[in-house]
Amino acid sequence: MNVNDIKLRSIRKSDLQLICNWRNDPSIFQFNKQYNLLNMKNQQDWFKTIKDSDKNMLIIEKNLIPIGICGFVNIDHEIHSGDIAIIIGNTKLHKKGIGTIVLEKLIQYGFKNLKLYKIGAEIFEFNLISKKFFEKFNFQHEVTCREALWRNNRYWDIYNYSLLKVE
Amino acid sequence: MINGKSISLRSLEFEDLTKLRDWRNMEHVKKSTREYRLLNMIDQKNWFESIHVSSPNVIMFGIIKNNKLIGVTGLTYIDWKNRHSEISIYINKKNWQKTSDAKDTLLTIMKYGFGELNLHRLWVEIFETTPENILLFKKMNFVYEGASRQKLWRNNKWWNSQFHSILSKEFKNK
Repeated sequence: MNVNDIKLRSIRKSDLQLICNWRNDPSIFQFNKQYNLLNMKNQQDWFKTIKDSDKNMLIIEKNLIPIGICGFVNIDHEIHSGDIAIIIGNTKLHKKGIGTIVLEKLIQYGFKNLKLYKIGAEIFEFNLISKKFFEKFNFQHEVTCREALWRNNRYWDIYNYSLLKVE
Repeated sequence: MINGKSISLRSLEFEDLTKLRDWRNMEHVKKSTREYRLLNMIDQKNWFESIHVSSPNVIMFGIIKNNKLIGVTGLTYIDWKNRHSEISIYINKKNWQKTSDAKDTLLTIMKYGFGELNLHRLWVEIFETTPENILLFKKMNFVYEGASRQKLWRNNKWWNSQFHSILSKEFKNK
């Protein structure tokens, strides 16, 4: 995978249907807190909230074709922190090194453009791939929220990871 | 009324808000909260409105002793799906963390959270600016879950916050 094939750009209204499809894919939403399915009204309402904000969420393009969405959620302007979110919507493109390229770009973008001091990541106990992925990027495991997620008929821990700008 | 041993809990009324504002603005209370501004009555009224929406994620009580309002407690950030919530408490007294009323209040609110709301996990985020709060929750058998770095900028430096929690199966005083 060539780094230059992957670009991040701002979200357009015409992306909403695609984002909606991605987010309703069980192989994607099992790794975030979402528990209901989303429709286009949800997407349009959400788009209104992000339209005027400072570009916290971005579309991932591979050779100019949208393949996913990424950015920062839970931004706290007081302490300059935000949590990373990455969805590679085209699941055929998983495990091809795209995540690594996107995360590298996002860390740069978060610290430089959004002027964050701290980038966080929330990872569910069963998401071993993400755990390894963020540890590779030197994210530190800070907190284990015990049994904080109910999914598939049982409780799971949620891990909080973070990377500080000074690191 | 919800009765503990030495205190009881009642619902808050609009008329309590002035008192609550003054307490929250006091230095020994303010240093434990996320708030960096001083609160005014507009803040208080907005907050009071916000906890009276349908299916709220905040449930607050006044702490009563000898018919007097001595503090505020409650459950905040209630997550009805994943069955967890943060505990909030302050009492209008210096070193309140060491009083038996603080412990009785926490027991009462924990009983309410587990026994009545069927929550699974009660947690607190405590800034390292207030070690006395950490000590209090340790005494209540909360388990340390880790520290989040650079969570508060105060007095010209960064402070961590600590997370502590107790699960329903760990709570003995049902």
